[in-house]
Amino acid sequence: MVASRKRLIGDSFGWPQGVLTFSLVISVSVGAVVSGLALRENSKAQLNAQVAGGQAGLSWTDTEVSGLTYLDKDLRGTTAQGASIENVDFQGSDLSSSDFRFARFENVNFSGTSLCAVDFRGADLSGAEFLDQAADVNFLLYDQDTTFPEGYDISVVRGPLDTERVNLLYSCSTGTTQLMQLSEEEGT
Amino acid sequence: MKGARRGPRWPARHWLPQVLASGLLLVLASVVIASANDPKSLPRHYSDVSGTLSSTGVIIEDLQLCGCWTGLNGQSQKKVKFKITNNTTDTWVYLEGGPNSHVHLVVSYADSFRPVLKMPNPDAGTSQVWLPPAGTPPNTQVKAADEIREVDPIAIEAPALVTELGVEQGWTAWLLPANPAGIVQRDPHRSNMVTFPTMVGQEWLAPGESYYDDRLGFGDWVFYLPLPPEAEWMATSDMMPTTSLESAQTDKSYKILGVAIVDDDGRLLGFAPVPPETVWSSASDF
Repeated sequence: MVASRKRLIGDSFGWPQGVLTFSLVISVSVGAVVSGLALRENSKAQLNAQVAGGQAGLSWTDTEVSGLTYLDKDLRGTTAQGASIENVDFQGSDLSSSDFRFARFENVNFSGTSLCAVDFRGADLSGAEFLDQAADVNFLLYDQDTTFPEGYDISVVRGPLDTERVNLLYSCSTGTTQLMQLSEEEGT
Repeated sequence: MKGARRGPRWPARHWLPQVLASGLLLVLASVVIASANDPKSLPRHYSDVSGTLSSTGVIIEDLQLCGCWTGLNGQSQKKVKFKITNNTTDTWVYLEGGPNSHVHLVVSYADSFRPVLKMPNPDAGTSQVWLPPAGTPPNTQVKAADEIREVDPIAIEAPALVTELGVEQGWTAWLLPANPAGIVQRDPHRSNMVTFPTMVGQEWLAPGESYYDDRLGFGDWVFYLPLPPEAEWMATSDMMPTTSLESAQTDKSYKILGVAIVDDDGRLLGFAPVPPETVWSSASDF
């Protein structure tokens, strides 16, 4: 599953290196302050474009990721199945409806992070930090293969979802119900 | 004999209306009596449900579902607690339970099983029960029903709703009404054990109103969940509410999809999904 894992290393927003290089050129051209503003705006534009296209969040499937910071970001719908994620700060971000199946976490900060309806089945969370301070763990999915940090109070999350369910209804915002597909088999 | 036949006779135009009126009264009386005696004749005003799951007419928040599986008459007990807000402008929500409850548990079953609900019948006689300090709610007087009555749940058949609910092929989603408020059943095998009561502090929720009760055992709705024959063992193992059962086992027999508010016309006013059942959510916690 992770044989052809990509690598993604950065120190600010988790962009591919080409984009970072381009940003660096822009920064040199127009000055550090303007560059900083542009960086933020570009980041927003990228995210908004993804949301507008119905594909919010990051695409990290089978990717090695390290040294990235996402403070208070809207990262809903991130796909990171089989990813290896190290030294990443998700503090205050919204990762709801994300897919982290079989992902491995090392020194990853989940303080204040919304993990509503995040799929952690088969994931190794033993290196996760501040998971107990996550903002929302409703409908968090895990199974018997999920490894939690030592001392984590598993009673705060529902489940485990060790089941043959095809799908799961969930809600991450009041009055809104969504359907998560859990397997390839079709419902009705 | 002939003389008797020649007795005074009323013209047809005189007695016909009276006979017709008497017959009509007889038919009406029969219907009323039959309705009172036949537990399955408690009518719903609708045969199917319409609407959408993401309705904002009635909002259900902070939904909790107990990890409890045991019960009586081949049924599990399910207790839920939530905050409910009526955002409609013209619809009143009936909060107390019973056959015509607006508060329902939405459960899907394999089509090989047709659920029939056996709920306490407060109309057939009750006796007082004092719940002990360790009860939920604690130190509270409720009524134990002497009899049960059968209630036919409504199947959700509207294609759009079936799709929204993600009901799997060969399964059907049903609306199970909440038990009547303040009514329990005694466990015939354990004289000091009773089922959980629905405990709701008000009968109707007016437009613009919210209801929530954070006290232990109050603001709770209790449902009896009929179990398919192969799963009835879940209900009979013990009356203690918490066992080690989890969704992996229960999913084979039924799936609890959520809590729905459905009015007298079959309109889905509000819905909230529930997470998979877990041992961690004890009925004695709320």
